[in-house]
Amino acid sequence: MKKNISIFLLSVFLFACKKEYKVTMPDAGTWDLFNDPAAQALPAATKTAMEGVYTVTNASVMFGKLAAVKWSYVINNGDTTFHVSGFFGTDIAYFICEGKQLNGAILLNGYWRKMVSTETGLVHLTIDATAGASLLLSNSPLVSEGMVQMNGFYGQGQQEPLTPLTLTYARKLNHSPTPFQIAAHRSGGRTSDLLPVSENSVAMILKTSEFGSTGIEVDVRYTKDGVPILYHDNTLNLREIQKSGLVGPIENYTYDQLSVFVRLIHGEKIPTLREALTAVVYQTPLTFVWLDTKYVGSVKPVQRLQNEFMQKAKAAGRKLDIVIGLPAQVQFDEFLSLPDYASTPSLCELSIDDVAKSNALIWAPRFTEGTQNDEVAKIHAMGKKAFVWTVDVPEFITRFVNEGHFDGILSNFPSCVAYNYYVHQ
Amino acid sequence: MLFQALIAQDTTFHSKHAAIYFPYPMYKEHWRSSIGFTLMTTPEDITEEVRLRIPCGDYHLLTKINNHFILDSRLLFQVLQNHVSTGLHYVRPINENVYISAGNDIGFWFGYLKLSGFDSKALGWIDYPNLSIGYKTKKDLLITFKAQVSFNLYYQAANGAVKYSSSKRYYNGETFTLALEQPFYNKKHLTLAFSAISNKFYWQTWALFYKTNREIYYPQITVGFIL
Amino acid sequence: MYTSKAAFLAGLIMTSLFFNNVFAQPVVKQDSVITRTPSFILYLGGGFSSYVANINPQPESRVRNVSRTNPTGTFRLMWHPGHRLWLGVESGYNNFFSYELKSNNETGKVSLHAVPLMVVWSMPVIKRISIFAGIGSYLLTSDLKYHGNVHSKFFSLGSDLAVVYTQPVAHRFGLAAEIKWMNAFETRDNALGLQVQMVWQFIKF
Repeated sequence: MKKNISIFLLSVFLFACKKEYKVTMPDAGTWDLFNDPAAQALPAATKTAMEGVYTVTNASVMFGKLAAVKWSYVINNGDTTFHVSGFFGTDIAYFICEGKQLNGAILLNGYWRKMVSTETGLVHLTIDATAGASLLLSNSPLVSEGMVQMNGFYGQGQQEPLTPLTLTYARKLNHSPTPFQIAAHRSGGRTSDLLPVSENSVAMILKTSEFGSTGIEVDVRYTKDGVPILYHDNTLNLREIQKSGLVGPIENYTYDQLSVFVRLIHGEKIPTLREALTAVVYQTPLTFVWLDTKYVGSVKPVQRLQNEFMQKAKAAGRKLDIVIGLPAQVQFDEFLSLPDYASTPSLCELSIDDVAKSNALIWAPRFTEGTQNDEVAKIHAMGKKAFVWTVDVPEFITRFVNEGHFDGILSNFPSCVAYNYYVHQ
Repeated sequence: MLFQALIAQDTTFHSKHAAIYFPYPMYKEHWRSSIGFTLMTTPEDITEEVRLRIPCGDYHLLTKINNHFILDSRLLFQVLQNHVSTGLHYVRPINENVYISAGNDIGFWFGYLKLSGFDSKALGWIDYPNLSIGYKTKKDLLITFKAQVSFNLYYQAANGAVKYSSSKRYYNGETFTLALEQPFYNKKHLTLAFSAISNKFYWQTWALFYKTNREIYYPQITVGFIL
Repeated sequence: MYTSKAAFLAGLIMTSLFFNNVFAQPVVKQDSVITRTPSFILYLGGGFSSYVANINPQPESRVRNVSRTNPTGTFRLMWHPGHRLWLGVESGYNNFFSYELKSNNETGKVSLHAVPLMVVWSMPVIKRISIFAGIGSYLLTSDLKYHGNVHSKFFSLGSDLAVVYTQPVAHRFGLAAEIKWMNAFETRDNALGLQVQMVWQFIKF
């Protein structure tokens, strides 16, 4: 009896141990129709016309009643790849597909994911010629309610998509009179949200537009030899890197040592700020970079890179704002010691008075203080912008978009901000 | 017969001042209590560099209703966030060494944080059905295994003027506890409990993050001095 | 460096064995060191540990000479208040692992050391066999030799669990064999150690 009880207690206790969660991204390269050699790229006008708010039928319980459909691109080795993303209102769900035309129809092939869970699977959608493809593929497509219908299926994991999904065009995407930034935290999202690439990596920067981001926040630190790199935490730890035997503050190591011995969770090297900004300027459509200051020390090396890459963006015909974040008094004081601080674009997380003192372009309070509409109005009256950080609870994102007057929202779930912003009326 | 025999034994067994987790009926006493603390770690992937919560004060009070029913009340306090629960537990011996209990506790938690950058407060109601089985060794050691599940009943949070509440009820997760109770110093008894908490939402983390759709694992140690 | 530490620990074990031999008397009070008499007990010893968690240095193809078995030592002070449950503190030393990594024809070396700092609870389970459960931190030190030397430290939350057999060998002295699971859970470092320890009941009330 005693033995039985002991075994029972022990086994139940052991079974209570930590569960491992992971997301295995499905391989979208298995749809034969999409892989047909006759399938061709979509014209730019088609992609633009296709963007909009769609009503969801068949799968509204799974994904919600509306979807915001938006295109993005990424450039790799000179080749541009376009993705169409659908952002849903339930469980921070989205799909990310590539598009082609074949025999007068438009095919969308990719995967869906719910960010609140590990659920994912394949998506195959088709816009038949009679369901709007003819219109979309015409020379000057003008789409209105009900004129485009995407029909198809979604599935679980790598299984063939068999569950019906229909999206019908309802209206244009919301765009506020002044530009609104959907800023992604840590270059696109946290590693803990089981994304396929690591936070604060070049790979994440190249991916984040697919999640709806128009801008990013990255965390900047210096190595022992003064190289600005992207890394969030104070120390090397297994939340961010693979086990290497190296521990302690990242500032204890030179860039050379980190480059040889340390890999991020998904195997990437810790990027230098230069590598990150190069990717932003030359490979993405991102229009905003927030350099969050995680170091205590001179701002000058970061300021030099900021200047260099804003000029490079301008020369490349890209609209890009790069701002230096001032999260606390120590970084604020260091910033004000720059002779040209007033003309250096910055984002201040402190008081409105400090925004004025530093001539920051943006005031960025923590979301935990609420919408602060009166304070935001004061900032706007000063000719400046206001962003709020880091809003992750979907219900709060909805409230900030609908009731707040911020010019940008920083979130680990840019797809949720994108959904709420684009469907807002 | 068994109950009568055990009631008679109660004068010799150190039940009074000796068992908080152990499901021992309160035949001849009216209350038992303990004071101590709980200590838990948080998941690195979610709470990042905040790995260790500050110890949480723990006051546990058992009140006799009758020979088989006990009112189990508990206050967990960290000043800025606190949790109080109470519930009726049915306790009964199976034999001289094995005791069981079944109960249901209702918990209420609340927290507030008003300092630089924060203007947040939150509260919630949680239901905790639970079962315990205790084994009394021949020595003076009491071993208790407690299995508890929880259901979130209500959640309310406010950040500045932005308020959010949800009365959506959902299964929150389960907690398994192994508790050892025995004499430690002089005639004072001590509770050492090890808990494996797997919850979608855990009240001590309300200021760090809301719930996830997956259960997060929190190991917890409880040390209690039985008064 | 490692040779000298190994020698130190081996010396420690030998000393404790010698110590116990010297004090081994024909008349030994049975289990004199693990009674419930209120007392303070010192454990001091060493042995070897094997690192059992995954090591994942990248790129794998360039990793050489991974060493997982290394010397370990323990210092533990326990208070026996007079009942079954004991309370104490524990420290010691452990070399978790080391490896070399080749990059551009140069070889770098990484070694990870740990000093446990634990609060320990203990209970005898059967005669002469006790379990010790510690909770606290491991002070980890990374030694990196590549384009300079780096000694970087970090406190990792952790625990340990040991099963100890104590053989009384003299009045107030014993010799213990210990198997210990070390778990620096914040850094996911796990090692299994085998040690021989001197046990000394140095204060008895």
